[in-house]
Amino acid sequence: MTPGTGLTMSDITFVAGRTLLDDVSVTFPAGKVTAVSGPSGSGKTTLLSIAGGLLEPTSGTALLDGQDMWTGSGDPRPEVAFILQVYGLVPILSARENVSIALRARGVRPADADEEAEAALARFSIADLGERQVEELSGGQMQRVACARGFVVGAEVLLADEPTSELDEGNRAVVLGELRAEAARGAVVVVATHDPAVVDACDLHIALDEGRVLR
Amino acid sequence: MSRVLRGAWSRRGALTTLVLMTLVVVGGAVVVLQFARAAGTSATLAAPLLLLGAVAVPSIGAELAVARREEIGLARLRGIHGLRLWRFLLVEPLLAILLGTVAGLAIGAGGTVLATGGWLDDAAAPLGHTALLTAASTAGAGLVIVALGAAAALREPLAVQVSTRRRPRRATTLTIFLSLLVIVGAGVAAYRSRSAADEPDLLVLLGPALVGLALGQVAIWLIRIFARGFTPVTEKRGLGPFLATRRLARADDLVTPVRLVVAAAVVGSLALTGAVSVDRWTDAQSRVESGGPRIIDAGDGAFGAQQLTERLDPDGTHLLATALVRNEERLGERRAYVDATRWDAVVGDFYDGTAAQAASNAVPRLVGAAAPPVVSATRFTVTASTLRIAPPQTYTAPDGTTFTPEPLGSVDVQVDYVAADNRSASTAVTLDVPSVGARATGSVRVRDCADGCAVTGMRVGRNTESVFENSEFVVLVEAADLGGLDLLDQTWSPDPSSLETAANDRFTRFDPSGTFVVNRPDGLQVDLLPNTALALLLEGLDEPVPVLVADVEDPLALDLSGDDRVVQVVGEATTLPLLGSVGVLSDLRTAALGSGPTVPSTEVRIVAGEGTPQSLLDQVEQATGSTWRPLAAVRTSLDQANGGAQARAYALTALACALVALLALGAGVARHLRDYRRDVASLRVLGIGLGTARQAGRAELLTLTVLVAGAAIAGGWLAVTLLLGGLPLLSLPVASLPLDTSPRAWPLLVPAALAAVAVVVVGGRARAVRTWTTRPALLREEEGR
Repeated sequence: MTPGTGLTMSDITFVAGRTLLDDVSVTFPAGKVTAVSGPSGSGKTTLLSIAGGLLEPTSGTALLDGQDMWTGSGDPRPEVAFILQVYGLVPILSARENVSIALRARGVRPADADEEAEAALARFSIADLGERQVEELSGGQMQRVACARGFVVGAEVLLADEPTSELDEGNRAVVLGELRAEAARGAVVVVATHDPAVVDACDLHIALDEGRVLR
Repeated sequence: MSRVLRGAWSRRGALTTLVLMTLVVVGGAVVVLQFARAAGTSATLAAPLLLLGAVAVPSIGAELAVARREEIGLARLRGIHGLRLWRFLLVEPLLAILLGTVAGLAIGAGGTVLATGGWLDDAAAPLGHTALLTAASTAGAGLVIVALGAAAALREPLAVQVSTRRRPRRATTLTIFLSLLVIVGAGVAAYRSRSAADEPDLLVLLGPALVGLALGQVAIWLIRIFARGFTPVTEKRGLGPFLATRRLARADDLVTPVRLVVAAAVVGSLALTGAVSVDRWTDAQSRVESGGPRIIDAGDGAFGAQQLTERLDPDGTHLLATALVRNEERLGERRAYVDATRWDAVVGDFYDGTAAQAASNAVPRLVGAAAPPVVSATRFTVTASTLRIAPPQTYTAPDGTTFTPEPLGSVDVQVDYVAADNRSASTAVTLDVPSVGARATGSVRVRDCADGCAVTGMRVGRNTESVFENSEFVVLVEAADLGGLDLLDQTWSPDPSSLETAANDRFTRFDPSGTFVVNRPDGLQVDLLPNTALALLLEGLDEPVPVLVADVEDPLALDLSGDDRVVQVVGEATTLPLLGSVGVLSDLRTAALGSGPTVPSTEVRIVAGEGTPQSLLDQVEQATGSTWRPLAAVRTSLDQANGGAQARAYALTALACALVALLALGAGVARHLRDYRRDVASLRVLGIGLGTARQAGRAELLTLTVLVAGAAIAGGWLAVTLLLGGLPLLSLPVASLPLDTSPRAWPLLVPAALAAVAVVVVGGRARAVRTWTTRPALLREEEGR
């Protein structure tokens, strides 16, 4: 992938009942892992949602290589992949299917998608859980499936919201390694977290508090 | 209480479903009970409704418990256990059930007014003890079932209950066992329905619902298996079909209520088929029983009715007399008489297309060779002369005196008849003809024959004034005129019973082998019997009576008074007009020949054909003092007499079952709607658009609709074939047409179509994906809760 300039968010304000983001301007460069930290309710998830085109800012713009991230429907652009804090797994699909469907949505043939999904699950040591239904997985296992799904598509922008909250140290290291690999590939990688260890492992750090950038 | 109400408000979705479900079950049961009571039929056909209600409610109980999982966990942490915990759990559903019960009673009362007013043309009675008891029992059972459904939640580990993660409900061993039990129950119900001859037991009554639930469960298993097996195929057809098969294989919102939808459709098929069968039976049976388009009761005597038709309709094109002896306890003597000479003209094609058509076409063959002499008379005049009489005997007394008494040469000529008012009567003329060649004429007034009477016989006897006399006396009756009718135009023969009586008299040496009656051109020669009158029989009484027979071994030809005649079977049929499937049909005139009065148990009617002038109808009404009943009125009274309202009661049950199924379907969809929208949002995050989600929804709905329709048709056919014959839809009268309960197309197709429409409409709303309600940001908002 040819690295772009990055994802630029300018003068972003988002009001939904209360002001969740207040005049935030940040740039997430391609090829780097940027951490966005802050206490609960500081606006991390909102910032990632606007960055990924899930939300339209009340004011301001979010652009990727000059293109607006907001598509008008609330669907993310095809270049964007998410690892959601709530995982966003589809209960009617198995663990492997949850991963492979992300590839199939991008035009990968079913057989190839299944193969890549197996490999992705294997990287997170959950290949043996491929046939399990989502509801049979523990919280940490679901998080690893969500991570595998986010990493497998090779997106231009990867937005990960608390991707290690339920993982042990070993698996956290795997996730951080994958994030690093994505950045090395030239993707824009943003991680929302309140884990200091994760912040330390990232290239850049943006701190939010009550919807404002502290640094 | 305010906390309870606040809690109830937060769970208003599930509780509203519980209220509505209770309302429908209680209301439906009350309507069926009250309607059945008003119609005098059985209310047991409401059983399927109670079963479906019992199946629908547990999921509501489980849902309530899941919704309160954290509360239950916290309560347990606070040390609330046992009965206190149950009370804590059940107070909300109890309030909902009570509300639903009260509303159901009100709805039931209102529904009863509509049903009885519309179908029975009757005012509704107040709610009886049975209805109130049923409502209370239903409420109690509902609470128990809700409690059982919630029991699984109480048994969960405390850690799970206080966890924020939701755990899915799995099919437990008990659920699988109950599913198999339903299938077995359906089979047993079908077996018992076909083998039991008495009133159906509870299992048979529940049979339609069991068959529907069983077929519905099989349909669910087929959906799951089909979906799992079909997944590899769908992988080549894009994400839409793939997602559809996955949802069919694993989701609960639309698939699980299929069981109830199919069950309701099966009950509906049974109700519709039953209603159609009863309707057709009533229509056909009323035709068989009535004899024509319009009938009127015509008093006690068949002869009088026949005379009335002759008088008012001499051409024989509009009116026809009939007589029916039902004899439901001695079917071998069940018989009917019709005026066969008028049958074709009056009845015409009334029986075309019915089971009695063949017999109706054969009625003209019943006309016999002879008919009774009928006359309106006020005088009876006889002329007779003596042909032979024993000469006077001279007797010598002991004192030597001799005396020669005059011979007893007095003859009584009596005519017997049946009057138009069905009373038998006779009148006699006494003539003195004491010597050979002596001639005399006598005349007497005749009572009861002014409106017409049928001559049944004559008697000629010696008037001995109680003196013993057995000498020869032969007379010639030269004339016997009854109101202008010359009785000597008939051919007379001696009644063997008179000869036998004379022969049995040990004081006379009587030889019964002689010739006692000679029909001469100049009169009737009669050799009078000693000490008894000689009864004379009309010619034709020993002629065979043509009859049509239905299912009678050794048929008897009985005249109107029940006496034997010689029988000649001219045809056999499965169904006879007036009689139905058992009996003997003969011509009224032929049966009246020589007959005494019509037996009291006979139902005598006059039939009016199509196009009979109103003036003629009015005359008949005036003459009989009765009112005409059209075929529709016969149909209605037949329907009421044999419990035809039962089919309507079952239709009410089916309607309530449909509402239960619709509620369950809607509740299932509503329960999972948020999850479905969340799933679509998750797919949109991955780049799978609304178009694909809609395509998946359509594929899922199409598959479900086809399977539901197929299961409903198959279940309906099975239920009708195996169970309908055993349900008490009608109390068939003796010798009636059989009730045809075979499956018909539209009663199977309509409920299946309605079930399919319900799935499409409710499922369509569930799968209606809109941009805003399935936006990916929904997932972000969820996390903020």
